[in-house]
Formats: sequence, C-alpha cells, structure tokens
Amino acid sequence: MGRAMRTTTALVLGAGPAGAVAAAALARRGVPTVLAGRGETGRDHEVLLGGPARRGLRSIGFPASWHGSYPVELWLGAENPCPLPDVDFATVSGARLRADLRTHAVASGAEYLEGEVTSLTAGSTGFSAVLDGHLVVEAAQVVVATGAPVAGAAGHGTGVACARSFTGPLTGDRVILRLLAPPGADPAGRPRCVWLAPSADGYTIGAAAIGRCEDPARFLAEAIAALGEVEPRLVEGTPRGPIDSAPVYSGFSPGRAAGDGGLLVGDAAGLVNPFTGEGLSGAVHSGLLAAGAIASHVDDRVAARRTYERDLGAAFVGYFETANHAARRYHLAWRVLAAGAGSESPFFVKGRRAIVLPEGLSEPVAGPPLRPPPGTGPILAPFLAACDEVAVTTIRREWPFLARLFTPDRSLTDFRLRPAVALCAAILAGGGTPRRGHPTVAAAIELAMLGALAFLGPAVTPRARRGVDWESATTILGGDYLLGRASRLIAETAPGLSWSFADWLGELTALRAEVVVSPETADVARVFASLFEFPLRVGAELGAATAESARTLRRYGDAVGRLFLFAEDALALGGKRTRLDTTLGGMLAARTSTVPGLLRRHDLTADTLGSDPLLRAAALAVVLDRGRRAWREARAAGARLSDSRARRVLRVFADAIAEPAFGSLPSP
Amino acid sequence: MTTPETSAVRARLERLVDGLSAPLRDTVRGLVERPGKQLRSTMLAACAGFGEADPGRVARLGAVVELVHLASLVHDDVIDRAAVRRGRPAAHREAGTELALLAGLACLGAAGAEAAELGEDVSVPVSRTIAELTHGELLDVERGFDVTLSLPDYVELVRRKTGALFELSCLLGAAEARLGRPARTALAAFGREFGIAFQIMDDCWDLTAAGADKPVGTDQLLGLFGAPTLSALRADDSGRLGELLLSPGFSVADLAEVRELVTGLGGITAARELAGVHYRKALSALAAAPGRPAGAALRAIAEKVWGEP
Repeated sequence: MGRAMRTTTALVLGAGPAGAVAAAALARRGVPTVLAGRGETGRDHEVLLGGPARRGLRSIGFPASWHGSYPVELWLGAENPCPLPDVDFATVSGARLRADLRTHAVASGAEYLEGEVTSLTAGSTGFSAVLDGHLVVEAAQVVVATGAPVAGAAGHGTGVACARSFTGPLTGDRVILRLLAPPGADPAGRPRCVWLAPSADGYTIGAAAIGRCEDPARFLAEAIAALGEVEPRLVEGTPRGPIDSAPVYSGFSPGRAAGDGGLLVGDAAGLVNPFTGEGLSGAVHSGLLAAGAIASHVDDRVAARRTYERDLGAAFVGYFETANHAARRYHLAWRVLAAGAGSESPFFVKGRRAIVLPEGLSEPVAGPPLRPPPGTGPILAPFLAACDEVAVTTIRREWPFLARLFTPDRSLTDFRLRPAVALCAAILAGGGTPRRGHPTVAAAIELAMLGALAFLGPAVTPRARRGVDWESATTILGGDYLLGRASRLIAETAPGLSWSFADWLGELTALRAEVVVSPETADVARVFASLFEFPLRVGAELGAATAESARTLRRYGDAVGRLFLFAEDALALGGKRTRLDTTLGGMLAARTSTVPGLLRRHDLTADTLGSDPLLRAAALAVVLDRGRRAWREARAAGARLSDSRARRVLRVFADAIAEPAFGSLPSP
Repeated sequence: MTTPETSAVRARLERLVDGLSAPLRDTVRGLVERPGKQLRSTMLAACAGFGEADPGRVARLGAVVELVHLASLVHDDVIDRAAVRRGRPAAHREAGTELALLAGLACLGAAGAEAAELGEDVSVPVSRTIAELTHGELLDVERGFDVTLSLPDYVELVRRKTGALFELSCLLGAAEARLGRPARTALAAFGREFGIAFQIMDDCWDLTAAGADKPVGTDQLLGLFGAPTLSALRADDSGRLGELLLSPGFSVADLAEVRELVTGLGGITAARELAGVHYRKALSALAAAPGRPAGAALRAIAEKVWGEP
C-alpha cells in the first residue's frame, strides 16, 4: 500500500489542551510544527481553569474564552469550609476550550492533521509516526499528548475522574472542592475529591479518585449528596448530557516524562493533582515547558530531553515518583489534610493551599514583587533561586508535599519576607558578596524556621482514636524532619555554624517554654525576635562582618522579629489575612499574640475583642505603637551599617513587613 | 547494670540536661534519672575500647547519643499517645504535650551543641543521623495501616528508625579508638545490623509479652504493623488477618485473635528468623574488626541483649 510522507521539525501527537498548547507555543517560536490527533471526542462539561493555567494560556496569546472567575472554598468535613484566600477558578466548556486551543495552534502557524496515530518509532536521527495507518510523518522531535493511559495499565497513580453538567436552578457564586472521607471508617481508605462549579445556565458536578475503580454513576450520586451537605441550594437540575468519565493518571516522574519516546505532556505525563483530579494546569504548564525545551534545542533532542526533565523537576514538586511509596505518600498527605481541617497552624493552612491548588507559572498575589534596591537585584535573585533549589531538592524525595511549600509560589511565601533576603543582606554587610555554599545555609535556615514554627504554634493535643493522630503526628514529624534536615545541611556546608544552630534551638525552646508556663509574665515577642535574629547572625558570620556590624545586624534581626509579630497582631485585629495565614482567635489560642500581654488581659478571646470595639481599638493602638517603635528600631539599626547594599535591602525588608499593617513611616 | 562507664555517661547527661531552662529540665529529668539500659552509649564505649580512647570524651559522646535517643522517645510517646515510659508516666502525661515537645527539641539542641563542641568529626555524623532518624520516624508513620508493606521496605525503615543511631554509636566509638577505615566500616555495619535485629525482636515482644512500658499489641492498634504481622499477612491465604486489622471496629478486645492468627501463621517464627539473619550479619561484621578483647566485650553485650526474653 502506498504511504504518503510528510516531514516536519516538531510533531505533537494528541490535540487535546496539552498538545494544542505545545503546538501553539512551538509555532510561535518559529519551529515548523505538525499537530496530529483525533477530532472532537464528544466530552463536554465545564472544566476548572485556575490562575496559573490562565496565565499560561495568556502567555501564548490565547484569547480568553472564559468569563470571570469564582472564589474557591475547600471543605474537608461538612462543618466549616477552609477559605483559600486569593485563589480563584474560571469555568469554561471543555469542548469549546479544546476546539479554541486547536484553532489557536493553527492560527499560531502549526499545521493540524486530523487522524489517529497508529505507530510511533524513534530512530537515530528522529521520529517516524504513522497516522491512520497510511500517512507517515517524520520529525526531529516529538511531543506526546495522547492523554491518560487506560486505567490500570500504568500501575500506581491511576484512577477515574467523572463529571456531568446540569442546567438550572442553581447559579452559584463560588467553586466548592470537597475532600471525602473514605467510606465507613476504613483506615486504609484513599482520598477522593468532589467539586461543584457554576456555569452560565447551571452547574457542573465532578468527582475524582485515585487508586480505585469507581462506578461513575454511583460516584457522581455520592458527589451530589456530599456537595448538597455543604451547598443547601444544590437541588437536582436537568442533566445536559451523559456522564463523562475518563481515566486519570497521576504517576508523574520527570525522568519518565522526558524519556526517549518523545516528551510526554499533560495527562500522558501523569500530571494530575492526585487530590482533586485537576489536570488542566499541568497540561498547560507542561505543554509550554516541552515547547520551550524543543525550541531551545531544535537540532538536539538529547539536550531538549535534558532541559525538559530539569524544567519539569523544578516546576512540579510533590507529585511523586517511585511507585513504591507513591500511594502511601498520597495517603499520608490526605490524612494530614483531613486531620488538620480545623487547624490554624501555619503548617496546615499553608499545607492545604500547597496540596490542593494547581501550581506553576505563579505570580505574586500577596502584593507587588520585591523590586530589589538598585544594585542588589543581580545578587539577590540568583541567591534566592539557589536557596529554593537546595530547599526543594533536600526534601522532595522524602517528603514531596512538604517540598511544595518551598516551590517559588509567592502566594505561599511572600518573597519579600523571606528570611533568606535578610540573611543575604547580612552577608553583604561584610562588604563582600555571597559565596558558594551560602545559599545552602540560607535554605537550611528557612527549612529550620518552618520546622521551628511547628513547635512554636498551638500545642496539638493528640485525640483519642484508633491509629495515629495525624494532626499532632504531622506537626511533630514535620517539625523534627525539617530541623533534622536543616542541621545536616549546616553541618555539611558550614560546620562552624553547627554550634550556633543547636544553641539557637535551645534558646527558642526556652523562650517558648517560658510563654507556656508563665503566660502572664513572659514576652511572646521575644520568641519571634530570636527566630528572626538568627538568620542575621548567621549572615554576619558568613560575610565576615566586623564585630560592630554583627552587633548591629543582630539588633536589626531582633527588632524585625518583634515587628513581624506586632504586624501579625495588627493584621489579625483588622480582620486581614496574616503572613502566617492565621486569625486573631488562632493567635490567642496559640499564645502567639502580643495583645494579652500588652493589655494585661490574659483571659482575652477573639469573642471578647470582637464584641468590644473600645477594647479592640485599644488593642490596635498599643500594637500599632509597639509595632512602629520596633519598625523605627529596625530601620535605625539597618541605617547604621556601612555597606549601602545591605542598608537598602534591609530597609526594604523591614518596610515590607510593616507597611501592610502600619501604613507608611516617614523617612528618617 | 551500672559500671563506671555508664555512671560517667549518666553524670554527663545530667549536666547537659541541667543546662536546659527550668521547665524543660523538669520535663525530662525523670527520664535521665531512669536511664534504661544505656545500650547505645555502652556500645559506643565498647567500640572505643578497640583503641586508646580518652574516657572523658567517650562519656561525653555517650551522653550525646543517649540524649538523641531520649529526645526521640519523648516525641514518639506523644505520637503514639503512650502512657508509660520506663515504668513512670510518659513526659507528655506529666508536663503536657507542648512542654514535652519543646523539651524533646531542647534535648536535640543540647545534643547538637555538645556534638559541635566535640568537633566537626562528631557534629557531621550526629546531624546526619538525626536527619535519618527523623526520616525513619516519618516512614514509620507514613505506612500506617499498610497491610501490603514488603519486608525489605520494612527493614529499610527500621534501619533508619533504629539502626542509624546504633550505627552512629559504634562509629563514634571507633573514631575515638582511631581505628582505620575498614575497622570503622565493620563496626558501623555491626551497629546497624544489630539495631535492625533489636527492633525486629522488639516487634515480637510487642505481640508476645507486655513490657514495662506498653500493653501487648499497642502497635497493632496504631496501625503500625511490625515484622511478625507483616510476615503473617504474607502467609495468610484466607485474608482473615488483614480483614481483622483493617476492620473499623478493631479494638483491644481483638488483640488476642490477632496474636493467635499471627502466631498460627508462623509470623513470630518468621520475624525471629529475620531478626536472626541481621543478628548474624552483625556478628560476622564484628568478626572482621581487629582487636580481640574489645571485640569479645562488644560481642558479650550483643549476646546478652539477644538472650533476653
């Protein structure tokens, strides 16, 4: 039989979202590209489009085909939602999105060939694919976007996602995600997620589960019941079409996705959030990364693979890896989520965000990015990037979900407030620049500070129940683990600091114990003063600052630590989101609020403060006064340094902590 | 058994704990006064006996490993909700969870500071071991209710959870004795394998005899199945054991049946055999280390522990 023959540079197999995004991005960078795949597969329900996915699509000039966006509510039980501030999802018809993306790929310059890929072979110089059994396409590079493997075929990490759209009568105002407890009290149960998204004329219900085969109809009925518990307005609408059910695959690993059979993207790469079944973010992001890797190495597919593997590794943290542990890890993370549902510990609040939300292509949502003071950008940016890399690689293999807290998503850790910024400035104070190994120490200290927070927050009293109590276990294991890792990094890169590090742990625990046993006389702010003073002390030592500068840096750190806590109190009193994502009630319960001490009212609760405007005003006034005082102290200490770069960075650092809480401070 | 060496370690341990702030010191004082077998520091001293070691340093190093062990016990007891430790109420029962956690952390800090004072050759392996230990504890809890955990995976987690600290103890002792690399490697392997064997035997005791510190079968209730249960699960064609362990209503009342099933399926025998494999590996590693009297002393310690019920 005669076969037609085509040649191109890049061939994208699969014309779903991931493939179309990759093809559009390749074509926009001038790479001759063929996009091959079947036409419409008939699935049509609303899909959720998170902020990162929307940003990714905008970056390739895709015209928005979604309207507005909705806030997100996360329910772990049926009692209270966990708010996810600054997070939203847009909804869009899945079929329309796929069609529009394909059109956009063609408009960007890719050629679309409709047909099914019947074979793909890799040769020494390139790939050869056969479409519909007769058209041969030869290409130097291949992107594989053929969707999730059939359930079960890929081993661990497989599951099912189903969804159905309904018309009327509910027109919701928010997206609801609910994680379901396993049926019965099955201690070996696996996580499942159900969701509700509004659409123009009704709503869509979805459900996803990894690690088990669900009957879609039963699963959706369960989803409707579970969502009805938290959204009473949800009453049976009219189905707009059949139940759509598809396998999901979350068995991502960077090495496998960048294998020698082409670069895998989207569902084919297993980039599905195992908790929510959400895969569009991963599809868009991996499509862009694959296109970027190929466009940078058009003639070298080995280099393209290397680049893709590296970029994937940096972008997707926590979606794990070896089959051996994956199921247990998902299970652990889910137990942690469920156990910490009511917790306000930063550990859980930040953990919830990190685990449930789509990732990648982040941009700051907590405020404008740090504009490094003149002359410091070229030092700070690589320093922080290196610090992130160390933090993530140190823990990603062992506790991937925790590692997600350290991915550069600025909604999690406002980059201006990172201890590593202050540490870097303290190194500069010695007159030099950061050296090799210094970012590793900074990473260790950031890991340690998060670990220490696990012990300095509210005491988690284990509940009597069968099995491990996950809320307390996670706090303890997580804290110990992070501190253990940090101490090892320090011993290996800067052994001279090992003693100071150990001594600092002693100091922190002593100060916190004082708060626990004598809440009426202890100064809560001293715990935070010690917490923040340490990175400055370490920076001074690494940068070989003079004794005088070192003293000044420590004074600065001490003032900035107190400033941080006063700012937390001021934000919480004002009902605003705090840096540690806690609330006034949470701070009072954890005994991390300065208010009871300042007002000499040790019986204060959030309710007392809430119902007494005069008392609240008095609290705010005193917190404001102390906070501004600490701010001035910090600024004054910073201004005494002789190195102008250190002066400027530390000024920005203190101001970034203070301004959202205290407004502006006149220049000295 | 009290010897001049164990007393010296204990005195040093007391000094380190005296350095903590008052509420934290009080929280762990009971555990220092009831130091248990001090097995880790005893092995350290025995390894130091392979050469001419400075007894003062050996005692300080012994206190470091005992303090790390103590810190992990205090934190573990909170996670396991253990009521009793060394015959007395556990630290968190007396002082409350928050102080117990802070005290455990303070002990790690004190051990780290002492290790740093003893030099880089001490602080680097100590902090590496603490990192292994905390990872092992994580793995231990992460696999909760996993009835399919393979024995190699289980041994790997035991190596981190228990083997690592025994390995460190032997390594620090060998370094004090200024042994060459092959001898250090041999003693480290001895410590690691002995620690694994020790932990597996401990799993057997959890099922067969109520110890001073915990009632029979505590780990089964927590969903943390040890070598006997995992071996029995492997041999159970009926599926009854797995079903029972995972049944929602599982309680203390079911422990007798678990014990019977595990024993009947040969789980205890299999676990003892597995422990025996690691015990023999430990002894053969020891045979490769030079120095007869010290080797015999170390062997005697191992045999004594192994011979206990």
